[in-house]
Amino acid sequence: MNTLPYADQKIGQKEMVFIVANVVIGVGILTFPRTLAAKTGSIDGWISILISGLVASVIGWLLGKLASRFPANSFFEYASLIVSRPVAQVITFLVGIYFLLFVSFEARALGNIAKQYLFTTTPVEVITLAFLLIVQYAVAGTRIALLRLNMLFFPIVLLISAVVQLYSIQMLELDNVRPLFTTGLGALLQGSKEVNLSFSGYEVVLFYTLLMTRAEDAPKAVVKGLLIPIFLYLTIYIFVIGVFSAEVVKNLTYPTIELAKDVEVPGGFIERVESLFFTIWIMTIFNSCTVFFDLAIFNLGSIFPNVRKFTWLLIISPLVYMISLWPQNLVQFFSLGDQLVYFGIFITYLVPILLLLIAKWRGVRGDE
Amino acid sequence: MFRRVWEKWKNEAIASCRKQQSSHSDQQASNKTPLSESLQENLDIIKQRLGNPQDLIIRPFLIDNSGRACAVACIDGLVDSELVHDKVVKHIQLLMSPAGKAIPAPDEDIMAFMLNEVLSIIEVKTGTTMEEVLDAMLVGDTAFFVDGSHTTILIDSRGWETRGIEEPVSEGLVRGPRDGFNENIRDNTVRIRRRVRDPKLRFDATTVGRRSKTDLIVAYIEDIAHPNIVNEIKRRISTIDIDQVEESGYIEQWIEDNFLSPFPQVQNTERPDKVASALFQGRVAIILDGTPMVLLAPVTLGIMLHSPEDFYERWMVGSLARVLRYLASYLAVFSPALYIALVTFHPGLIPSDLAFSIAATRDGVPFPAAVESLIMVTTMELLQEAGLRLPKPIGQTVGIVGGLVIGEAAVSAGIVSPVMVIVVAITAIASFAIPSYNLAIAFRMIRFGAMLAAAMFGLYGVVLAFILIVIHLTNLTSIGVPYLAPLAPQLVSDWKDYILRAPITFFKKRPDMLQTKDKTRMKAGRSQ
Amino acid sequence: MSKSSARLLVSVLSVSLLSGCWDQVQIEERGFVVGVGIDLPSSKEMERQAEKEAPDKPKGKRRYLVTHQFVVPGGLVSNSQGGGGSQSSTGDPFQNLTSEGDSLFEISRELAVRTSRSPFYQHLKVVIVSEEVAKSPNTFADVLDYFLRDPDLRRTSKVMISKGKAKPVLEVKPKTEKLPSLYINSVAENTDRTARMIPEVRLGEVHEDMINEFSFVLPRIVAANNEVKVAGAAVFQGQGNKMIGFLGEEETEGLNFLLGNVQGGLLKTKVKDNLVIFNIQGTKRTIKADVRDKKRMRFQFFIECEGVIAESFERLDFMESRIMDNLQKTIAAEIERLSHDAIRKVQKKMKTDVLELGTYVKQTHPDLWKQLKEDWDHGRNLFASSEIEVKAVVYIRNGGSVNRTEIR
Repeated sequence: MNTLPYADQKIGQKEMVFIVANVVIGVGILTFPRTLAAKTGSIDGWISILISGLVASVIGWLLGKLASRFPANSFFEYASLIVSRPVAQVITFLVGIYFLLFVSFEARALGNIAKQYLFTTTPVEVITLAFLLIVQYAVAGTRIALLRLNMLFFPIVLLISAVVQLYSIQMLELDNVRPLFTTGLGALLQGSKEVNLSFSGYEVVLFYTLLMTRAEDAPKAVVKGLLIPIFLYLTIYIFVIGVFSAEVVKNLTYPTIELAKDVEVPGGFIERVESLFFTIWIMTIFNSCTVFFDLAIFNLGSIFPNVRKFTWLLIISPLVYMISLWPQNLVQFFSLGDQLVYFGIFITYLVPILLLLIAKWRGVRGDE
Repeated sequence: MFRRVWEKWKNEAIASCRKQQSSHSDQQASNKTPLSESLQENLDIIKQRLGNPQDLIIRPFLIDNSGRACAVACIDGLVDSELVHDKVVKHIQLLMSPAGKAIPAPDEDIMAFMLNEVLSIIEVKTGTTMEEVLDAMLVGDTAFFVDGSHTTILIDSRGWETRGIEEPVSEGLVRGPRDGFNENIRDNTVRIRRRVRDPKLRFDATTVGRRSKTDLIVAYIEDIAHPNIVNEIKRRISTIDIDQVEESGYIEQWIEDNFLSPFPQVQNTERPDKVASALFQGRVAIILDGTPMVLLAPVTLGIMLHSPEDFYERWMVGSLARVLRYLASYLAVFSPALYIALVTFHPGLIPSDLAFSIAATRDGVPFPAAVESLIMVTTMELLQEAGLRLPKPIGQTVGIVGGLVIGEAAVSAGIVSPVMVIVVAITAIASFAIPSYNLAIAFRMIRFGAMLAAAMFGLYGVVLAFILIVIHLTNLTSIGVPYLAPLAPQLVSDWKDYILRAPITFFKKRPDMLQTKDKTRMKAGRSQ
Repeated sequence: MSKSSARLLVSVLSVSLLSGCWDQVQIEERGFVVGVGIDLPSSKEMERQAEKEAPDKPKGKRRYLVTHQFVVPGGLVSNSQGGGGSQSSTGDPFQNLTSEGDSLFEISRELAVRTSRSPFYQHLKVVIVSEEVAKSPNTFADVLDYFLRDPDLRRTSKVMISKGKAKPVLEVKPKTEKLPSLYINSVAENTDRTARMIPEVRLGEVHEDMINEFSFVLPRIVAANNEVKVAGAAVFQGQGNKMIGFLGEEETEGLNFLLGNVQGGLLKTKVKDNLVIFNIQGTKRTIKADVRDKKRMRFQFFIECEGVIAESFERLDFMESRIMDNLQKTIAAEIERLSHDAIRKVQKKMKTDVLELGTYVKQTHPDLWKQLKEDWDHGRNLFASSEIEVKAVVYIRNGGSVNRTEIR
């Protein structure tokens, strides 16, 4: 029941910006300094971050263009408009599967890290289950409330990141940062490929533009949304390298958490910041998870319109849980993540860009 | 799932009630007893209908000269007997004496004459059916019958003993008006009218309770409040079908959006100044006869944490007080949970020296921290409940005895650790700092859930609990207004009256979240 | 909105029933480890016994004798208060448990059979490694592996090298503090009052140096007469991470000047047979390098030092600029002497670059460094053959509150 006009099911540009930023920042933020330092071997990795940020922005902008072309259609609807219905069905199904896998991946990531830093004996299964239950509760609510959660949690996440960085300033060693500009272009590009994996997630614009009050703002919103993680990644990378030096970062499983671990808050108010940092970080993982879960249901649901959302929730939830328990160890887990991202690149970047081209070529437009 | 079942059940219930009601009213319409011409007959029917109670007063007398019999009937205690005596009986007797007015001929309409020339009372009306007469008498009107006329004059002579205007007990302020509502709906509307002298102020009256027939007034300012909100509230009130309404809590529970939520979705207050400012904000007040608690809706979590004093004091003082209250609400919910999480799961987070001394003080405590907290928090709840039920002076004693003696004794007996006592004390004080009592209760309930989560998963559990609460809050609405309104959805222009309270000259517009019709609060701000 | 409430309820219940409370450990049941000391076993007895019991068991190359210092919280509370719920205990506020084994994790777990409280490392303050362990080849990194790998442990614990055994260091009973480890921890932070102690080195920093293969120094700690002395330094060769030897207190002072570590301390100088003591309030160091000839690189250290006169046995007029100039020169000469002593020891005797010159070259001449890397302070040891000069400048900011105490 919409008593008031603003309480409707629409989001503005600001919300979109936050959603994109929030979804992009996920597991990647904890691990990317390691992969990036391994490839570039120095502080110069920041250039890689910029390159991949740029690439992400361009792709994001294109995706935004595609979605804003059809301001009133869901992904499945406009895909069917562009390339016949059966093809669209296949694409949408794959997209749904992708998001489903992504939820499992993130949930497991959370379980792994929580297990490593917060618990010793509690099984990962239980940690993940508790988390997924909360995610399901969020998804069971209205979609708009779920998106508003992003707006609530994101500032908290930014705040704690800022606190960690602020207090690690005193540990920055210029020795670790120098020398600048020693990495070759090849290594930088390699590095940017690694970081690119940590930028995935902005494809949500394809699906949520439908909810925007002004769909034509979508491309702008994605780019603005990506600026936040780009900036955050840059500062985190510089800090991590500045505090630990590139050689050490290569050898830390979760460099960003280790950064928080090194921080000492003056005044001795809290002894260890990393637990706090990690618990707050749960919020951003939670946000990405709910969004992906919602999209999995949304996409699968748009192919089978007569199955109710709640039924989908019941079908998908156990599936997500079981998949999340699949990997046996960290190495398997990370490689699953990489494969997942490649699948994602194909299905949510290449295919939609192709769709955009076809739409342009055939002149298909959505009705207002 | 529950929700759906509930909706269905509620709708069915309402539908069946409506059916009954309508059939009931049909019957009534057909069964209405017209007044008889005979005075005696009328009086007999009244006696019979009311069961000739002790407090029924029937005073028959004769109008001079004509010798026509007449009578006044009223219920003792509900009427201002002085008024009935002076302005009705005496008046009629004096005025219609030979020295007074000319008496109309028997065939003239004596009732019209009475109304026009004799009764000098403002609120009078005429009645023609027995039901009308009875209803009026039961709210305190006096019925005046004249033999030979089948209409009656119903004189508003309501005047029963009411509590005077006292300082609100549940919402104390250092600075601000001292008057509070009382149990009389008329007194209460007066208190509001006195503050809102706006011709657009609306008091839409209705009655609720099939048997109790309690007066209810929906108050709002017509060109400020959004019509959808007003209409929605009226619609929900119109669905109320219970036989008796004792307190505004009945209304609150009937019209709230989500009955499964621990959070109150309607605010209550006994402060007229709070109601007046709510009306100017574009909210709606529901005033019920018989209770000093006036309901205000819609409400948001932010509004619940505000106190009128924030605006009476200067803005810095007000802002600081608010920040403190927000902090208090976190402490009230999470401090025992954090204690459990830190002490049993993450002692690494506690500064070393403190960790060692907590360990030292907990040495010999037989219970795990979770059980220890549960014991202490439950004890505190008990004390609070006991303190409420007891007469005031004893209540305070219980508080002191409980707080000091039990705490101290428990520590020296080694049942709980001193740190736990500090944590519980902080929690209690924090929950007292929350201005809305019903919100404080909600927090007290959630506290136990948070403690359970902390006992299972430590800090991880606390964060999950926090997320869970926030999900719930973003989904919650109060009369369609999102409960976390200026925050989710973000309405940045409303943030000047949220966690901080901006200087008063900044409030040029009314809050966006209520979508008021008239948005302007001040034309040009402060001009100097 | 609350559609799934019922389901949530069910699942929360099931989770709570399932979970029990795995990780719940009450705070008083944790064994807070605040200090760890690592030694080599003095006898082979245990080893032989282990051999006898399980001859086929996989064995490490080396066996360690590890001392864990546990906090006994009951001992921390003063008994005069009487209450507090704790049994009045008169015992020590700490308990040292020593165990032997070939894996640190194994030793840590073995403690379970000896103490009711499982070791909890998150409050670990100091790790003390004995000279013996540090000097054995490839041992030091092996020892620290456990401390770096376990997520429970923090990278901020301080690492020190004990002269002699590590165990006695943890057994001192200081009067000012209740726990030896906390006492050592705060002594090691006194770098602003003395130049004879190198700044605290944290576990994380050691890790950085080991991975980068830089040579580094760690503080030396000596226990004697129920007190410890943190002074001097242990020099580690980056290649192989093996300790080469100790620097004495004077040499450490010189090293500190060269590294720009000096924040406080004093310098003594003689004026006309009488001592004048200079209180250091800050130093700044810059390096200049001439790397044209790889075999004979030239490095110049510029040390600027400022401070005040703390004590003077010679009655000088500190208001006179000539006297001050002279004094500044003699103090500068003292700094240079100290530095040269340190350089002589590390460059000529130990041939180990703890002067961070390698880091300097890496930062300023990254390409050159790539060629030098393998021959810097090992292999051809270009470091040892380079020329190092020191130039010191001293600024006396004032002569103290009085000019002269008596006129002589």
